[in-house]
Amino acid sequence: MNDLTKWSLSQDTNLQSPWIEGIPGCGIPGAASLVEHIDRQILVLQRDGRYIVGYLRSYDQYANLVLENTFERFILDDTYCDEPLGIFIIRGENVALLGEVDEEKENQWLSQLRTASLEETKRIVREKRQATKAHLHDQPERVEWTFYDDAFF
Amino acid sequence: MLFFSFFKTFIGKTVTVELKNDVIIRGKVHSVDQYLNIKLEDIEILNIESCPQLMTLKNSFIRGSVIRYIQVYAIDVDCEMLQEAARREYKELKKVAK
Amino acid sequence: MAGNVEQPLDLILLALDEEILVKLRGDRELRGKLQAFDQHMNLVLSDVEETALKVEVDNETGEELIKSVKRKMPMLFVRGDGVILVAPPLRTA
Repeated sequence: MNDLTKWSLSQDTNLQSPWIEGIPGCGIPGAASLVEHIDRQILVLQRDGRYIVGYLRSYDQYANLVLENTFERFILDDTYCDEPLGIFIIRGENVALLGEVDEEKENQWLSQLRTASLEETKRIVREKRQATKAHLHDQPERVEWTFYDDAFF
Repeated sequence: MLFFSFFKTFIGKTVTVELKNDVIIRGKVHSVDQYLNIKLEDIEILNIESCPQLMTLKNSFIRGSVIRYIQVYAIDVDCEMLQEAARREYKELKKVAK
Repeated sequence: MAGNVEQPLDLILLALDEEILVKLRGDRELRGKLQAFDQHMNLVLSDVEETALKVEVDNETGEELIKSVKRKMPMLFVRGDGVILVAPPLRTA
């Protein structure tokens, strides 16, 4: 807590200088240290609950992302399948979280799952999402406390 | 900027972040920025059944806007100092507004 | 006291170090001692009790039950965008 004793709005040097220590020239304020993930394969969880995997090529202060060799991964019970999608630009506000995948953990996890047909899995997953959405809209009394635009379907 | 400074004091400490989609992630704070985007290392997903995919992650960048709560250990917080900082920031803010 | 309150956040300033009630989006309420706040209504609360309303669907009858789930958290940062209202303590004296 020592920082806070001396801290004041007008004198916070962190607001002027690039704040990621030890990484010279990394001057993009905000968007924490995404620079470490450049050219690495990352998993992005989007606000709508979808998972996108790809190589991070670029980002900016809003956490807008450019991903290459992208695929969306669908999981359904004990099956999974990937749909290749090419290059993606994801608008920052739709990013919930992202992280680097631990290959060892991933392989171990995937070995417990079966691959499934893409078309079939996609259809079921979409139906489920629709059902959840419809369910949320079916709650008349609760509408005023539920904000669909930031709900996670 | 009070909370940016507040969370910088947590770098290297363990916190539990609860997201608006109910995912709960515990990890060590690696970095934080002025939007309160936060990067955690050595992460553990506490409700893994809701999102098994996330189990494979080593670290995680969490966008500030999807955070609902951040639980911290009370021992890491000096309440008196924090309240003082909140008062000071609010006073400064009003001064700037005038 | 009333003379010092010119804008809404002035009231929150007065509630520092006091027990407050916070109502949040997503049918949640928090009760705890206010330790810090900022202009976005980001808050830090201590000794928090959260009450969340959850809807459970009975598998057999299909009936929806609304259950309130309580949780305690010793020190909690709350992001301001989820805050609906902040109620300072009642001053009866």
